[in-house]
Amino acid sequence: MADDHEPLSERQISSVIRQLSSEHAARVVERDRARAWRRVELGARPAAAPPFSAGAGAGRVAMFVLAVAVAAGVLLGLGFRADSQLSYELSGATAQAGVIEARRGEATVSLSDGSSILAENQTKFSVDVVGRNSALTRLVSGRLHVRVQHNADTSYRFIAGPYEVRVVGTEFDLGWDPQRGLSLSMSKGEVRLIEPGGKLRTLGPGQSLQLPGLDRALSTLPAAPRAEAAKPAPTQASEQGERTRSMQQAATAASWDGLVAKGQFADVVREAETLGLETVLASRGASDLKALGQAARYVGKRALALRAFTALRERNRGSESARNAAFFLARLQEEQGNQAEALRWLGSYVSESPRGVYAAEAYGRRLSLTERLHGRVAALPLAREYLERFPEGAYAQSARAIAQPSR
Amino acid sequence: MRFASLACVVAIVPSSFSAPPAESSAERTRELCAAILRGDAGWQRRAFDAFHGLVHGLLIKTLGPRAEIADLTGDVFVTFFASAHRIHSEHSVRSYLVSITMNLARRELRQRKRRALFQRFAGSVADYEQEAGADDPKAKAALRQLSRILDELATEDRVVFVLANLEDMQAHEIAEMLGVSESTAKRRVRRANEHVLKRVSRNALLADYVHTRKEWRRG
Repeated sequence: MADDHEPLSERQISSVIRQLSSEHAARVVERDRARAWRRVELGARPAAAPPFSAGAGAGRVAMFVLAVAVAAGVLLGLGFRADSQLSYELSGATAQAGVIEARRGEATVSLSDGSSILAENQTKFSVDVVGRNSALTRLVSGRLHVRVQHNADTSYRFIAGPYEVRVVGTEFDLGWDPQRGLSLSMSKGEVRLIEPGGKLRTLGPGQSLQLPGLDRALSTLPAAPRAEAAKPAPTQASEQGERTRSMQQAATAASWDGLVAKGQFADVVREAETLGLETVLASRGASDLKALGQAARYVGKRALALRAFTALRERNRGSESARNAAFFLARLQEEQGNQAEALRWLGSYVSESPRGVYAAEAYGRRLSLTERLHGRVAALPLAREYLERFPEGAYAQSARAIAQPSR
Repeated sequence: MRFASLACVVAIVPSSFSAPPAESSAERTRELCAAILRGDAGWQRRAFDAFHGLVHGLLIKTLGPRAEIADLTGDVFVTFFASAHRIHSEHSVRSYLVSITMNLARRELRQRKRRALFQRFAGSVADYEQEAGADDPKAKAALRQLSRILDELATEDRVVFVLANLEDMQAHEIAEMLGVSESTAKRRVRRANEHVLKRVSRNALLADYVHTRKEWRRG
């Protein structure tokens, strides 16, 4: 191919690199502008040093000493890294209340274990870290190209409508549209797909699959669980039947926390739906309601999550779990775009649990939402309060920007 | 002392960076500089809006289409805002930013090489932070491959390659900026060019792509 042409020159190559770089820059500049400014606003610790200087002899000695220390630290850090929590970086999109939406071209989620998720334009999804090498991705709509780095305990789950894809290490494309359905196309490795009725499929390299949308998928579910879920609780159940039911419920109840801990959120929600949501919400204890609320949130059933946390709060008034439920309700409301309602719940949480486990985050979110909804003047006392209580907190930079705007 | 070194930086940045492209732009830069010196409210945002494109473009040329470019751009401005009060003329704003940008790029390249080394040591793959390129798949693939070839260069050689070939700086300007002799700068430019030319020429698909692009053709 190239042999048909004259030999390349440095000028040609440089020109092409310059042109390609400029084209790429033009394509992403507006998107990157917002993100860069946000980083400025957050007052990120600058990675850049002052400009080049000739007389930096003493600095270089210090740099050498520092480099030795850093090298030692990094070597030690390798061991630490193996035990550290999975984390990810998002580029090309912004996350609004946990939901990532690629609006201007592709978005990339780069995970610390080397895995990556490339979202096509107009794709909506969320990513939740579940464990050291475990993450749950909920694809609301759109298409993802996924590459999962295999590790001994890798467990990636992708929820797309009623479907769940479980991955250990692989590369594939996953598309979901509630009307058109699910498409799964494998490049490498193997995945397991769980259909709404529990049917399990295994797909290998080169295989692809097309499954129906939400309505058709749910219509294929067996009628029995639905009928049972819809059926009101019997008023005069036999003693034997009642005992069996109680035992079943107790067995399930004992496992919900564990299922959430293992990331099996869809299983929790499915069980709750099978048992009947009204019954569950009216009878289950605080830990189950919390587990159900979390599981429902993770699989995208925010309405159910709201119901679970509301029930938890109403049925366990004054308890710590009820107070914490206010924080979860705030987060859910914010995820749904109900900022005023989220602010109200955050207010409840900080007044009920000013030193609670979520206090730092709650004070920070309250500050952020107050500024957004009511302006800087309204946020000023909250910023001062935040800085007094959490001078090194995650929202300290934002608080300082509000409290000391001239700096 | 830092003020003195800043003045030095300002002096060595080439005319392509320091000369404002148009009268209105020069006027805006002058006003901006005055705003910085007076500490006017909102000068940071004005500076960001005026120079974001410059910093962003330089970082992409130097570091490739990486996902972290936006964050690094933000870092450049954070550094700039912390020390911009030392600027003493409108020409300094642009050149000071260029210097900060290239300094950050140089550090980022070094860090990236260290990360790659450790990742090799730890047995993991390192190129996941590459960002998607242009919509044209050929352009996307070409940009990624060219970026990988530039990744093979030593940090100083890469910076020199960008300044010489992509920013059209002269060897003496590069030498002053990097604090090396002119002959060292020339040697690095030559070494970087040879490496890139050799690697691109050996890659049949990439070489073919370079031939098919029209931008470099004259007349």
